[in-house]
Amino acid sequence: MDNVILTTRAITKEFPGVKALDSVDFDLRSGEVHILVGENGAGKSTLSKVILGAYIPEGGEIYLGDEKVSFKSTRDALQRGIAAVYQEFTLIPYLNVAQNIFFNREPRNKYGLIDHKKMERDAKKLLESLNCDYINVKLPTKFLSVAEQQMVEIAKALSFNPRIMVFDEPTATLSEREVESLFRRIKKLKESGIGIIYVSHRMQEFKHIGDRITVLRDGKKIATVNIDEVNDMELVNMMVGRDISQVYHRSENHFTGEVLRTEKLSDKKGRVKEVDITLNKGEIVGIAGLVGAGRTELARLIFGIDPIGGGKLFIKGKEIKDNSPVKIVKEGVGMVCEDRKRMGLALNHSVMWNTVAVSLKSFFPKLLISHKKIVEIVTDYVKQLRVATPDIYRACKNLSGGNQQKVVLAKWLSANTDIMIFDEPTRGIDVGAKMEIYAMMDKLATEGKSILMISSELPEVIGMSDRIYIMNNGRIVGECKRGELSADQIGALMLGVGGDSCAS
Amino acid sequence: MKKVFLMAISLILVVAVLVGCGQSATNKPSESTAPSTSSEPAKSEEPKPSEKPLANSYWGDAPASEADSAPVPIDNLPTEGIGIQISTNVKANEKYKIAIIVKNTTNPFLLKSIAGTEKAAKDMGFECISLAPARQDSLEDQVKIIEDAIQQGVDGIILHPIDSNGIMPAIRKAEEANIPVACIGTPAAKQTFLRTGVDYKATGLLITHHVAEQIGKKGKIIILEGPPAAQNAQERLAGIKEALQSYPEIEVVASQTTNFKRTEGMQVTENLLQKYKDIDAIIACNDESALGAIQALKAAGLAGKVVIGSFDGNEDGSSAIKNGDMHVTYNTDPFGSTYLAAAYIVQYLNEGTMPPKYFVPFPSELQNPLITGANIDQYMSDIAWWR
Amino acid sequence: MQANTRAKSFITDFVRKIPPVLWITLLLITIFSMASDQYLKFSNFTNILVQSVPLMLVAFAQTLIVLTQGTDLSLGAQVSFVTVLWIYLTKAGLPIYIAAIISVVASMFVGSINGLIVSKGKIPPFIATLGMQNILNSISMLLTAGASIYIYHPLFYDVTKAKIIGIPLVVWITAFMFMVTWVVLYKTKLGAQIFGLGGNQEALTLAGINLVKPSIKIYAFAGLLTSVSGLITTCRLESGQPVVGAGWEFEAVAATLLGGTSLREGKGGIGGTIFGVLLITILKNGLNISGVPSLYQNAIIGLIILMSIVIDALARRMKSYEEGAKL
Ligand SMILES: Nc1ncnc2c1ncn2[C@@H]1O[C@H](COP(=O)(O)OP(=O)(O)OP(=O)(O)O)[C@@H](O)[C@H]1O
Ligand SMILES: [Mg+2]
Repeated sequence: MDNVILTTRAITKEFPGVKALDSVDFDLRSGEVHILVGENGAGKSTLSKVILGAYIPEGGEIYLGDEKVSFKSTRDALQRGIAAVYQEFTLIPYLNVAQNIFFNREPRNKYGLIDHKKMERDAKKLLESLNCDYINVKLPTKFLSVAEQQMVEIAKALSFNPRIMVFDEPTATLSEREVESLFRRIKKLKESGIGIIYVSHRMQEFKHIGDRITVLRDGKKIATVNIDEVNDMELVNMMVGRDISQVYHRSENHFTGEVLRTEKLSDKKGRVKEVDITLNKGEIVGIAGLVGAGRTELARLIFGIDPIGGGKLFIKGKEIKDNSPVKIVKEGVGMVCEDRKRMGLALNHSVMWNTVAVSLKSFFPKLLISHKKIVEIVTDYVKQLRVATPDIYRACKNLSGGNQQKVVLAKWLSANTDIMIFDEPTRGIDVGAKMEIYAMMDKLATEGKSILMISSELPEVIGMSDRIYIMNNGRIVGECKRGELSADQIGALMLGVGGDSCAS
Repeated sequence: MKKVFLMAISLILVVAVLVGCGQSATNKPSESTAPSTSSEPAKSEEPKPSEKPLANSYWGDAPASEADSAPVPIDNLPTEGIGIQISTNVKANEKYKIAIIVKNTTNPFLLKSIAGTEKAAKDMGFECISLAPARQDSLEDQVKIIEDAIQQGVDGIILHPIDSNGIMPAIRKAEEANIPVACIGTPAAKQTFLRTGVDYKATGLLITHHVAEQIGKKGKIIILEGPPAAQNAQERLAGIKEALQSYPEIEVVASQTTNFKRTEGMQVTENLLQKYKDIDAIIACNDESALGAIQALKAAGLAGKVVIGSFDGNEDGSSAIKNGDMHVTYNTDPFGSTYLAAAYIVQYLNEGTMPPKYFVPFPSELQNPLITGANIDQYMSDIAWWR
Repeated sequence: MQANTRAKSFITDFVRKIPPVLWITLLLITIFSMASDQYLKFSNFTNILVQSVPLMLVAFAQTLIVLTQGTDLSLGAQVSFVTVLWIYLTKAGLPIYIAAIISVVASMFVGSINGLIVSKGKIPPFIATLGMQNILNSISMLLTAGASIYIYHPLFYDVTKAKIIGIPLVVWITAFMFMVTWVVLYKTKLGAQIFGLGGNQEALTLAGINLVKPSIKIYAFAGLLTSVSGLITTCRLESGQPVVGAGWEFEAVAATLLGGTSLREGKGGIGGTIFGVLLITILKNGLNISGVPSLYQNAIIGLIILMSIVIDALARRMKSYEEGAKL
């Protein structure tokens, strides 16, 4: 190929118990966006990290152009112009945005000390190029929202002026608006001849920015195809290795009695304003809205992470004052968080531990616990959710990102909660697993559990919800039953331009 | 915010209450003696500070180790008696603040030092403040305490220095503020206003002579030494060795450290008894190690066959003398020593009188400090400092 | 937002920005000045500053280590070691300044060994430095035969006595060391790496940074700070004290926590540590000056430190609660 800038030959990488990459050939041309897809645990991140020098492969070769290279660390790769936006969180919480972007290559002034002014100026410029000038470069990244943090990670990668860029699920935590800025930026990068490896689970993105697509499954390369030579279903079948029919499936269901109600519920920061919602037994209620519309904040409020600033919250008819997660969990509410890394999992602990941590008491009301039974329960969930892990004793940090998400789900499912709050439940989860999660939600609803679902993926909200609330700027601006409004109408409401909301 | 506020309030209360307690605790003695101070002569009789000799530089800059250690005749002392019997007719002209600063709050010897000062405060009519390092035996803390006491405006300091040289900077600060510092036990490196407490070397001499007489000036003895680095232990050992020079027929078969501890006294003696079965006497550098030695002797079936001499006259040591396990010990009397120091300080503050000399050993040989079977009953009922 | 609520939130914001440790300190000062009329004197003010110096320097060192999610248990032993080594070398005939420099270098060397063991050996700092503490303690004991060692030199007295515009020299030295530490923490690469080590080691690895070098530098810098504390302590005590620093490392941790540095996530800074140390020093000084019997003092100190840390933690939680950490 004429303008191939990066080639891998027969790359093999093993972790204890798994062959993460099995003789993978891959190539990247300049000025193309090469998409990597595959189920959770297929080896996408591992391949990226091998290219980035973060992992040293057991076998195979990497060529930059015609030159064979072997990177000892990410620094070597960076020096050759390969930078990345990792799936991991690579920001340092108590350094500010500028310090994070220029971490370890801070500009110096004439005294040899860090030149904060210049650093902040440069950081600002970079963020502006991503349409993110609203991010305060002097703020420690700890205080940014997840989406803002992700934009900082992207700015950081861009600041290296690389020849090759790897994006590992960059949009998983972004809202539409930020995704758009990112895509615009990626197109520009493409035009300037940079080669881009792009890992994602979002099918709708592929056509938008991709040129070629490589499918991995179980560490093996299945195929590399031009993006317009393949349709979604074919892709899915390649990824999953089996036939998949209908994505969203809802059974007939009857709602009986209200389990959760809010009356003019507000938080203290003005991000949630006088919200009235209800949730019935056996109902799936979706909340649509842009990132920043206050959906996550509403969930946090209900779950007791943030204090109530005004209004009332009723769970199963009981008013909850002085809300706290402990209290709320006692009422039988569970929450799957937006930021699974920092709120959902003990990453150093095993899959088993994480799965049963909150539910031990309900399984074993007496003093003693049975290890055998725990193993049974956990193994069952691992099978149901198809968590890709060699065994249930594996530490969660060694799982792929999507599989970590599944463990969070398993945790709440095992806790046998009546009311589940799902904040972006399928983010970073591959299509196969997504459908399993949808099926599981449907099953839960028929079993009489209630689900409050927040999602940035509108099709998901529309496909799964019995009722949808639309949020904008902290308020509920619309409500509709299943099938009442089209995606366009809901989208307009989300943006705050749709006229009257429809009565329910 | 409510929780934080509540916590803060309770914190204020705790501090306030405790500080309040401290205040009232230290005020008590002065309250009870208030009438006596008010009946004292008016202030005008007091010599102006400039007429007073300088409290701490009066004896010059000589090292403490070169001080004359001759005992002061009993009649020249401002106090009468030793141990808890001690009394004085010195009265404070004003409600002076005198601090007793010790090394730690676990050693009974030091606690009785505090008690002696408190008794002195009652008898003479001054205010006594007792201070000890928050960290046991921490020199750095003791220095800070002295600095704080100077800030507090104390009129005099009675001090058990933790380290002779290390305490000097703090003493110099007191000196600059013209606050008399009386050291008890281990002295500061340079001569201060006063040193009192026993002369360790003299105690060693006295006990050794007594033990030598007991065993007919000949035989085999064991010495149980104190911590090798402790100055008082070194001086005491020097006294013992000097006394032994006059007894050529006495052979020291072993001289080992037991660090002033009962357990070590027992272990070391047990080990030595394996080797030397025909011991005539043991001189232990304090009662605790002597008591350990007695246990070892009992276990070896040698109880009563070995003469034991020791130092301190503490509670268990006294009982051992009473039931014949121990033969002689030296009353090191912290209670009386601090009382005496307080009397000298009050005399100085009243009219600028300096002690007769820098080092006033107390109790000295003139005060009949040896405790034996002959005087143990009287000692335990009337004198014992630990009571 | 309406103007009046904005004004209100400005005031509450301002009040909330004052770290709790500061107003706890002010509170203590108020109580003590009511208890003793000697308390609020300038001489006592400098007295407190001087007394806080040795712990202050050790606490700066500890703060850096805590920011990396470690604890250095050998800091106190390093102080003792420096006091002993300085006197020992001077006694052995070296010029006093040369001896001082050698002591500083030795302390930094000890620190870098700590850093090496922690990063290269992947031994938890707690264990590694505990071992170092024991080693240093016994070296100090060996050099001194267990007692303090002493030499006469006018330098000691001069250092403690000297004043510049009414403030003791040792306080200036500490202020200077604070500046240096501040620059290291906020103006150098190493500073950023400290926050990185504590906040997100994965990030450092993914940035291709070898963790060994920064660790060695950080612990060596801590050694520098403790050695200055050791030199000043030697001057204050005019002697080499083999056990003088025992327990300082824990007081330094307490001061660090009081100052708002967290044992997790590399959160905090050295500014707060100053107030943590002052709180501890003021507490001890105040208790002495108001004549609280020493038997109660330890309990009070422990209680107040504990309560302050709890209040501080609560207040911080409220703060992030109210600011509704955007997350
Ligand atoms: N550090 C590690 N130690 C052990 N096993 C690992 C490690 N990193 C990845 N694995 C395993 O290697 C396999 C591939 O993981 P990888 O992260 O590449 O998947 P992925 O395709 O990126 O999945 P996802 O879409 O969920 O991010 C998984 O089975 C995972 O459990
Ligand atoms: Mg991945």
